[in-house]
Parts: sequence; C-alpha cells; structure tokens
Amino acid sequence: MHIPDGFVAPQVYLPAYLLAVGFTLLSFRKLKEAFEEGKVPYIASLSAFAFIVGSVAVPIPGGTSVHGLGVAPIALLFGPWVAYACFSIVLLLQVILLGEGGITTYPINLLAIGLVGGFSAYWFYRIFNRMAFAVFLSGFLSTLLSAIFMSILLGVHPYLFKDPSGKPLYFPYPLSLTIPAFLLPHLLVGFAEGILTHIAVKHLSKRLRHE
Amino acid sequence: MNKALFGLYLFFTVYVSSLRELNLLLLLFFVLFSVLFALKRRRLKGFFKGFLYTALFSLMLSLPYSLWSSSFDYSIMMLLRVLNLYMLTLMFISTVNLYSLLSFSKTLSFLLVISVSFTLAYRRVFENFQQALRSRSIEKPKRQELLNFLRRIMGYFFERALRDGQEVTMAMKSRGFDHD
Amino acid sequence: MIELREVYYSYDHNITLKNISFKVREGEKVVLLGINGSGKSTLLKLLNALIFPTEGAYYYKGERVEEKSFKNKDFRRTFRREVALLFQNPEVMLFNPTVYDEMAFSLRQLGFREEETREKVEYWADKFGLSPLLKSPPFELSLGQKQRLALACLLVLSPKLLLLDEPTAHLDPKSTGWLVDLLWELPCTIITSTHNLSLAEELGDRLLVLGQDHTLIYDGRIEDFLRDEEKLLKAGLLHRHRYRDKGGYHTHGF
Ligand SMILES: Nc1ncnc2c1ncn2[C@@H]1O[C@H](COP(=O)(O)OP(=O)(O)OP(=O)(O)O)[C@@H](O)[C@H]1O
Ligand SMILES: [Mg+2]
Repeated sequence: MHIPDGFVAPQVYLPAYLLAVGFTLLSFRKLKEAFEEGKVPYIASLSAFAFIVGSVAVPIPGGTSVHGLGVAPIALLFGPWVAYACFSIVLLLQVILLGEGGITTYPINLLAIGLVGGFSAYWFYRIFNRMAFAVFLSGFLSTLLSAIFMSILLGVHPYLFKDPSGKPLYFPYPLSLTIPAFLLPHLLVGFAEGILTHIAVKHLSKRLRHE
Repeated sequence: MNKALFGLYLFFTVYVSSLRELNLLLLLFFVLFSVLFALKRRRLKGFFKGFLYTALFSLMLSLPYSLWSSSFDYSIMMLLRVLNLYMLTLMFISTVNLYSLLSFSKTLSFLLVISVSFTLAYRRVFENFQQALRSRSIEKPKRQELLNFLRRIMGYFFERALRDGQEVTMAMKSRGFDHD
Repeated sequence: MIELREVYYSYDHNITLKNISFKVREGEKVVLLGINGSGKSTLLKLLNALIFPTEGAYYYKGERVEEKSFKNKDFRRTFRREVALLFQNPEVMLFNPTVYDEMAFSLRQLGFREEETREKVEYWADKFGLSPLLKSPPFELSLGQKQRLALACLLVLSPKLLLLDEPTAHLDPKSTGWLVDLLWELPCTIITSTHNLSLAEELGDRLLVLGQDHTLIYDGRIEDFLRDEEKLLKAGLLHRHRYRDKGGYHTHGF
C-alpha cells in the first residue's frame, strides 16, 4: 500500500491531515476511559505490539506467507479507539524506522488503516457476532474495506487533477483500474489479517479478562 | 530554530508536491541535489540506495501510464517531484532532531520516545524468535508449526506489552509523574 | 571441526566482531568469555549460521558456510541437525503448545516414528527433571525451567556441536552445578559463552576471550589467562579498586 510522496495532491492530503489528526486527538481523549491512569505507556507498548503483529509473516493456505495490517486484532482486543491511537504511532514508526510511507501519505494510510480498518473490523465483529467465522471475517473484510477506501482516494485523482490537455498531474489511474489493483493483493493480506485476528481473539482475549 | 526549519520543510513539501512545470522541477532537483552534497556526507548513509529505490518505485507506478498514453512528460514530472520530495525529507531529517519538535508537549515527546524504544526492543526479540525457529528447523517448517509459532509470537508480545505498560506506569508514578 | 578466518561482522554500521580467527577441534570444550556487548551472542549466532560474516570465512567440517550453502537441502539438513544453539534468552526458542511437543519438534521434522520420539523425549525429560511438566505449555514455566527445557530440546537431537549462550544465567547454584556436570558427560564439542570469570574454569578447558574492542584477545589455557592481570584488565573483566583492597586488584565473579 506504499505510495511515494508526490502522487497525492495537497488538496487531498491536507484535508486528510486535518481529519486524521483530529481523530488522533479524539482517540487520545477517549483513552482516558480505557486506562484510567498511565495511558501514555500503554499506548506506547501496545503500539510496539501492533508494530510486531503487522510485521510477522502469516502462513496462508497455498504455502506462501504474507503480512497482515495488524489493526483488526488490536481493534477487537482493545476497541477501535485504542487501535486508532496506536496506529497513528505505528505508521509514524514505520516512516521513522523502516522508511515506509512518507509525510504526505501518512494521513491517508492512517485514515485507511486506523479509521476504516479498525472501526470496520469492530463493527463487522458486532454484526457477525453469532457466526462461526465472525472473527476471521472481521479481519478479512475490514482489510478489503480499507483497501477500497485507499484505492478510491487515489483513484479520484485523475478525474480531479489534470492539466488542460487532459494529462494527469498526480496519481494517474482511474477508479476502474485502481480498485481491482488494490483489491486483488489485499485478498491475501486480508486472509493474513483474518488469521491474526482469530489468534488474537481466541488466544489472547482470555488473558485480557483475567487482568 | 528547529520549528522554523520544520515550518520551512512543510511549506516546501506542499509547494513541491503541487508543482507541475518541468523546468521548475528540474531546477529544484539540481538545487536540492547540490545542497545535499554540500551537507556532510556521512549523515546521509544509504542515500543512494534510498534514492534509487524511490526512483524505481516512482517509475514503476508512472511508466505503465506513460507507455499507454505515450506521454513521457508525465513520468518525468512524477520522477522529479518524487525525488525532490525525497531529498527534501532527507535534508530535513538529517539536520533536525525529530524528538525536539515535540518539545512543546512533554507527554507527546515522552510518548514518541518510549514508543520508539519499546518498538526497537521488541523488534530485536522478534528477530531472535525468528532466528531460533530457523536454528531449530531441520526441514522447512510446516504450516501448523508456523501457526504455533505465530500464536506464540502474538502471545509473547501481547503479554509483554501489557507488562511493560504497567511497569512504566508504576515507574512514572514512583517518580511523581502522575499528571495525565 | 570449525574454523573462522579473519571474520568481521557488523550490524548496520557498528562493528561487532573484528578480525576473529580460530579453530576448534572435535570434542573440545571451549569457553567464550567477554563483557556485555563484546559480541559473544553475535559470534555464537554466526557459528550457528543465523548470520553470516560481513568479511572473512567460516568453515564447518572443511566446508565453507555461506548464505548460499543453505540453498543446498542436504547441507542445510546436516548443518541444522549437527549444530545447535541455546539462545541467551531461552524464551525465544519455545513456541509449541506443550513441553512434550516442544521437545518432539525437531524429531518429528526428522520423521521419527511417534514411539521413538516419545522414548527420546521421556529419557531427556527425566534427565532434566521436566517429566511432571510434559503436558504444560512451555510459556508457563519459570525462566530457569525454560532454560533447561530449551537445552533439552537441543539434546534430544544429539548434536555434534553445541553452542551455549550463557546457559547458567537463569539457573540457581544447584542447577548450575548439575549443568556443569552434564556438559562434561556429553560427547559433543561445546562452546559456552559467559561473562562469569569464576565459572569459566568449570565450563571448559580452553578459553577464547573477546575484548571490549570486539577482537579476540586471548586463545589458550584458562589458568594462564586468569593469572594475566594485564589481559584481564584489557578484557574489562577486572576492576581496579583503589581503596580497601590495599590498592590491589579485585576480581568480580558476578
Ligand atoms: N540485532 C541487532 N541489531 C543491532 N545491533 C545489535 C543487534 N544485536 C546486538 N547488537 C549490538 O552488538 C553488540 C554485541 O552484542 P552481543 O549481544 O553479541 O553481545 P554479548 O557479548 O552477547 O553481550 P551480553 O553479555 O550482554 O549478552 C552490542 O553493542 C549490541 O548492542
Ligand atoms: Mg549475549
């Protein structure tokens, strides 16, 4: 999902910044309710946890391994606001430590992964509550939704930003190409995310309730 | 000083990312390139690798379009813009201490510092887990074995995160740091 | 059995091993001594072919060990079966659902039948006092128990070269004594790392010392090294105490 700086128009990333940072502040405020005291160390350690979850290779049927996003497990374990707060840090760490993503794509990634991914995972889980695969599906579908969101944000560029001759000024591909191009690889990513989410809920949430 | 540089960086980022004239982009490219070289070189470890990688990545995204529409101006414009932004960012992070930017808020800079230090520590342990798996595997691990491994990784770091969060919270309290 | 020739290793840009050369013959019990950060763990990982020299060469049984040697299945099998590393943090080695599965992991990979596997696992579990724990999950054990379990997992395979990274770090004095005795019984070549001077003598008969500058500053008999104050100081294994001890030296076996 890494798009280099330069392909996204300021008219898109600047409003995205406003929105993303606004949500970050809101999420930090919400966290006061989750951990009454010392929320700062918890956000930091859970972000580190999320960072690792996003960087482990998940074996999927067919013999290959892929990475998940790592946001759905956090959203189901700790709630979508915590997940959003963590990912505003995780994505920053990915820029600082791994050089993945850039300053103009940060808010777009954050909205796609933290907001759309995290919250939809949570809501899918609530909707499918009774179904056998609820947990897996919430990881899988939220990843697809996140990819669709991202591809729409990029795919609208050629319609909105072109010079008089019709040459695109930023991301060049129309929605009809961008959406499938994002969706296909994210079927695998979603599968990995589904497995991660399943493990998180089946094996970790027990220990959380004991706390 | 840092804040002024940061403001300048933001301004130029927005400016460069909205540029479309090839001449201007090219001029900026040479300016940025020379400034980067004038800066001390040892601070720019891995410059060329990143530079090439970014260039390739940009071409990968833009060339198919150029080939299809046979307008290579587009690819050149994107390449220059992407590289300019890359050099701008590199220049910024090699001169400014990122943590000092957050100095206006004690909580925020503390948050960033401990997030980075937790993450670096976890990453190193994670690497050890992977090495241990490699060391103990005589054959390529089967899917079930990999799933067990995955479960353990998640369990380990989950518990560690909860423990570390709690420990730092207590340490902060004992040092009288409990405004929040 | 193994040979390092002018090996260098760096993480990113920090040199961690500098110009290391030595040979180890079959059956030797070698102690690797060095202070924190001198590169002991790095050297052992290199000998286990988890990382590869940035410069220089590593030979195992006369064959050069490189990243590409592991593309060869037979080599990989032989090497992974014969060379075993006990990690400094035993927790990273344990990821199976039960202690039994943990010990059976490599045996199953080798295609042993379940009865054979059970026999071997039970033998070593008994020797390591782990029998009552076979059904529990490894992560519930104490750190010392984890360390013993991790070692047991390696020994079920009867490795030829055993690399131990501070194997006594989490053990109580009684278990430490027990482990030392066990190591001398094992027929394999052993390289044990430690920063504990007083333990060094018990763990082997030959000493390799990594200095603070990441070079190999000593290779020889242990007793000679312990008498050489100059070298001890250089390795950072000795502190000069100006008061109390009549201005003399004072060893720290911590
Ligand atoms: N994965 C890594 N990435 C970067 N640097 C590392 C990594 N692992 C170790 N180092 C650095 O390499 C140096 C040597 O580390 P190593 O773990 O080999 O030392 P050691 O002798 O085993 O120390 P200790 O007694 O503390 O276990 C240290 O400065 C350490 O910070
Ligand atoms: Mg070590």
